[in-house]
Amino acid sequence: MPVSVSSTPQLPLPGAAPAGLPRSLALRAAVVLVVTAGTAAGVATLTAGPATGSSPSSPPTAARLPEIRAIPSAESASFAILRRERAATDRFTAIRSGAGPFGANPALARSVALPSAPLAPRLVSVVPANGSVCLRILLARDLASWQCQPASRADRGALRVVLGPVAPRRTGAPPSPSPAGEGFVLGLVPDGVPTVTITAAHGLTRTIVVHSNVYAAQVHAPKAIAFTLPGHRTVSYPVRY
Amino acid sequence: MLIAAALVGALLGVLIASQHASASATNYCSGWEPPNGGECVGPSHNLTANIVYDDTGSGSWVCEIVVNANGDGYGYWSCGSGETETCYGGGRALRGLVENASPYWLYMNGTEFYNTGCP
Repeated sequence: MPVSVSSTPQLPLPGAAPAGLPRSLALRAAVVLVVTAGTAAGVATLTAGPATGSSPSSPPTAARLPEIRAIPSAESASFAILRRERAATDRFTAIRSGAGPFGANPALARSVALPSAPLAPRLVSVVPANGSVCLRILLARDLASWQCQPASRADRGALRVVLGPVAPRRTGAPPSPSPAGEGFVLGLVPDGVPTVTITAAHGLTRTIVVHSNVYAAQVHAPKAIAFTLPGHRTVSYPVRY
Repeated sequence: MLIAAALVGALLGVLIASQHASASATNYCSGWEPPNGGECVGPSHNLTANIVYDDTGSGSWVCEIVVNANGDGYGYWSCGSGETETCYGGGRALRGLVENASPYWLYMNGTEFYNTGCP
């Protein structure tokens, strides 16, 4: 848009600084600067993703979905733990307040008591999310692992995680997991799955009882988890750490 | 004069927006990692979250940890199907690490977050 500027010289107002520019022009310039700065900032923000690295890849969906306000009916239909009344023991203190991944809402979480083990987390919570279900695993006061799966996969028992301690590393080398060491296996299964069988190194197996849709056990060199879904279909998922 | 003000304003706006973006997240280690232990370490930030994911969408097994200034692992290894995330307090300089724990080549990514909520 063209901007018309009067060619008539304007007199400075009494008391105004004797600048070389007329006051109205300076004012208009300031307005233009503020408007264009705001517009440019808006455009830059809208067109940029939250990540700024050199990668062209988009950030994970985990960072973009809005927080849900109620438990999705499909999730409560599959997991009894999400149908029970919420209790004071379900609450947890956020590491840093905000929504969880995939729009998970901590205010809808249900927590589970775990068997004690050297690697057992402090608290495990099932947290419904936006199209996904998450496990939030408190490992230390300022450390919480989140694992999520789409609800359609979680209701087949695909939500599982292995946590492992940090092993001593070779000088100069980055740390690496110890697949042959101890791991803490955790997972979520739908209603109607009473036990899971964890296969470890050398073909050893261990049967774990499911409590409130969650199974958890410390296992040496875990390799796979198997269980029978309602309808008698047996599924097996690989795990390792 | 007005055109100059508009140009300066536009530049200022972009700078402000990019400062805001770079103060919250960084993608790192985007690329193919070899099977059974391919690893890559990201830059140092006071992390509030580290997300590692398999871009192929195969749901393959991936692991995540962070390392401190000495290169030592901090916290726990966390391994999951397709994606895994850990929240941190934001009070220490840490670097995210991605690991391909599957038997296949995976196109992997890590995203470090800082100054963001992570419950």
